[in-house]
Amino acid sequence: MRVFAGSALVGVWAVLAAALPTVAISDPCPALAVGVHEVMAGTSKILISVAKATPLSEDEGSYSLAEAEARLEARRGLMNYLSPKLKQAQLSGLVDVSVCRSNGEVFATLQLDEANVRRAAKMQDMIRESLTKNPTPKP
Amino acid sequence: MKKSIISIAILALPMIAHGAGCEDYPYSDGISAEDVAGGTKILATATASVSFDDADSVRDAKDEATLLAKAAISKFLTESISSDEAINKAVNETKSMTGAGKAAVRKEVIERVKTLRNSSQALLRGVVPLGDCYTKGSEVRVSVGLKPETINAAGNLAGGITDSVASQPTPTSGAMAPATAAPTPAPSGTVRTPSQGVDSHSNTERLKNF
Repeated sequence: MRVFAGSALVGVWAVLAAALPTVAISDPCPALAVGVHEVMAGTSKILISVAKATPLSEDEGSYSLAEAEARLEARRGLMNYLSPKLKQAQLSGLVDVSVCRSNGEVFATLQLDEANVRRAAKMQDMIRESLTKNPTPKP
Repeated sequence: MKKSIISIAILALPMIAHGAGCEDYPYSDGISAEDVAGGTKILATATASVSFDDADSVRDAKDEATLLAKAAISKFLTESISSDEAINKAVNETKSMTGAGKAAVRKEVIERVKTLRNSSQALLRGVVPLGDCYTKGSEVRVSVGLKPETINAAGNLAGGITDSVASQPTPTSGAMAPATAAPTPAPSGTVRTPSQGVDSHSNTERLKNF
């Protein structure tokens, strides 16, 4: 009986230990208010755009659509912030940071980092230079 | 003591079996860029869902995830965004007459159409597959990467092929005899063996060295 009680205790601890990684301290959703925020990281400027969308119904498909809408809305918000009334723009170095759900709404966070813009431009130059110098052979 | 060891082993067993899929995969969907010697290293990861636990479905999902990951790199390099809004207003008016009098019903319909679009198109060179994982019957995740070394390697290879073809052109006609062996037809009435499921797996070896 004692052995059984001991093994049961070990079993309970094992279940708790197994469940622990799945119980993470949840971050607030969204981490920043809806809109565009300007943050300085050293000498580099970071723009963070947060947008929300409401799913039409409670099913997973509607939530997926709302996530896509929120991501696009975050892009539109950023574009409007950079140049109001602009209907079309080309941006480099955009990174979708997160998408989260809260109170039946979906929030997307998009980041435009000056450092990433430089990185994207540099990689584009490298690829362009490589393709010009050694074009892919054609039949 | 023996019993407690057995109980731990029994509890830990499902975790070990489950961990072989995408549970332990080090990257989730998204893109990361960091500076390395001579340029930038870009790593993109994407996921595609698998409808059936079947080798063909897993292969299709892997192709889809690879394309999505490459598209993420293309979008990182340049992304076009367009936004448009339109308002359509329509009036619907109906009149009806009864013995008591005339009545009119007027309905206004306002339709607000919002169009948001993002797109990207790029010619990539030097993108290499780095790792993938599969969770049985659920999802396939693929990581691809791009760095100065891989771009240079692809460029050198393309240059090497161009030089080789220029110095020793491949014969194009008359040199080869046509193949005579016809493909063997499958015997009629053959019963195809049912497709085998694919076990969960995680391949991260190249990710570690990238």
